[in-house]
Amino acid sequence: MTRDLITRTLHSRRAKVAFFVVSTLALGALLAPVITPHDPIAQLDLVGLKLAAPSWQHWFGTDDLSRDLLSRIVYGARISLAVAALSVALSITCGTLVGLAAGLAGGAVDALLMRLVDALLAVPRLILLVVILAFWPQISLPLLVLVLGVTSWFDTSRLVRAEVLLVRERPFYAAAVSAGTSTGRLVRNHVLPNVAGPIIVAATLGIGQIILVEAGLSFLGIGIARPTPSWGRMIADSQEIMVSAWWTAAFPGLAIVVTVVAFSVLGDALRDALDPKAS
Amino acid sequence: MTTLLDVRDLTVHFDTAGGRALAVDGVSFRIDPGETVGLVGESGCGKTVTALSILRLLDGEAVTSGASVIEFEGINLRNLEGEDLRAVRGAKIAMIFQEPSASLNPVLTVGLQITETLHAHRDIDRHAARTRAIDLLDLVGIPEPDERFRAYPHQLSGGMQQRVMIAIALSCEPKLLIADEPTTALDVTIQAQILSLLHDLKTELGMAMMLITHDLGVVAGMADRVAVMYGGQIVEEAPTRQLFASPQHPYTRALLDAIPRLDRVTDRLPAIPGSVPPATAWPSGCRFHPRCSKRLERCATDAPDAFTAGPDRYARCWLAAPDQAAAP
Repeated sequence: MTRDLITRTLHSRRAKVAFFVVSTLALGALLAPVITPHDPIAQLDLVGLKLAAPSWQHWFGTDDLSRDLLSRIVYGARISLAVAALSVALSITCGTLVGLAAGLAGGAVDALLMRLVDALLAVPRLILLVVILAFWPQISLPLLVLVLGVTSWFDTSRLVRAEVLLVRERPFYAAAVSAGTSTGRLVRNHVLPNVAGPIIVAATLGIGQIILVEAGLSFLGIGIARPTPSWGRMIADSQEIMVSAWWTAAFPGLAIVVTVVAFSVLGDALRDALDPKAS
Repeated sequence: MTTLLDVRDLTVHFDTAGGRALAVDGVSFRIDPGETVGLVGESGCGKTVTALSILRLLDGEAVTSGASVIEFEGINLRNLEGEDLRAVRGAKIAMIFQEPSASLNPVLTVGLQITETLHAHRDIDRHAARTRAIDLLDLVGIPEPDERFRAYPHQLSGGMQQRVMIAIALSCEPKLLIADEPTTALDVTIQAQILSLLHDLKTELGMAMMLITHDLGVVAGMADRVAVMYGGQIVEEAPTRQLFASPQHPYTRALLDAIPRLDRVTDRLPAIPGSVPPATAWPSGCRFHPRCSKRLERCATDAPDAFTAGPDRYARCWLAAPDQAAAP
């Protein structure tokens, strides 16, 4: 079942490339201290290496503080991927719990939860985040994950609720109820496995979105605090110098684009593979 | 012998956009231990709603009238909630459905779906549950039960899937099995196999069975008694042999006439004119009168009572009324 899903997901060349990119990023982030040529925070030579163009020593060049850009981008992948993976895990958990509660309870509980979600969805996410994060002078990784996670489960809860309602209409659910299956087992054995597909797709697509949001926040100056390398912050810091030193903005920007596109292609491929009508 | 299931005055309606749909209207019947009762009728006559209301499986939109009584072993199931209700479902009353392929969860193995029911009602460990599940697969005639235990539903044929459903239903040795069109979705040869399996198991385990079908041929070989439903009501109930020999209600007669027979040469198979009216607008008087070939004048205005026509036997038709000879 699972092996079959992987084969179908990676059927197209696009998906294979996306999978390769995502694996490379994850591996690179994991092995950052081993593979990076320089310390991402060390100012190597403020006189000689300030804003050095890309070269064999510094593939992506250096920034205005003579820090190696390649090393900073690889370490930046750590932050981006960690923030994205953890926030998405949190948001998927919240969304699944709320969606399950709404879909299984029905009636007033359902109506109340879904109106709450409607209300929360009506607030633009970036503005909501800016307002919440403005309360803290210094933003740590756990805080950022927490805030991103609890502000991005709204869509997922709706999706899960809809899937739960669909599963409840299917005859095997009635059959399981008629056999006296307990509510816990109904959720674990019958509801969750059948809503897992859409949840996985939502998670994969969500990672790309969160990376964009995190970069956006860093760009606005309310991301992870300096000097921790973050792609959004790197672009923000290069605003005044990018005309003369294009590499300071181009490579972090490229990193964001490639990562987001890779996750989104992979999410689409997963969705197609999970769609029973496609096979 | 005490009655196992006693349904009295079951009335269920749905409020739809097109008005109130009276799906089941005053249905009463009983099932004794070990007995098979057939519930027969066309699509839309209320058979399935009747079956689902016994185990309280109807969704929130269905409204069961307060006067309805569903008594099982002396307990009104309508008063049970939560754990008490769950303890009846699957353990004392089990149910099998029309479409075996849809009634099995596609993402779980067959074995897990059988052991799930065992775990729900019995305090047994994983190993014992597995042994019992394999025994059950063997009991319902599935070859290589050890292998099939790990199979997913889509790896089995429709007939095998229905055998698995039967294994799940029988896992906790229920007193009553409700079979809702158990063979409708299967090939004719497989139908016969499943029916004979059900018959053998029922005798072996001594359970009662409520067999719901639109096929009179199915009940002929299986049921002790038959109730014929039309328009949300039981229009005739009789011991099987008597029902086939001398149907009292014109609807039963028409259903029997619509079965193709080898010993009667006809060009055209007689069909019942028209179709079942929607449950939102039952005709006045007798609900069958617009389609009835023997209708009397009063049929359009006066609804007939259930007139007794012998032991265990009644018909809801003016023709069966004792004063029929004196009637206008």
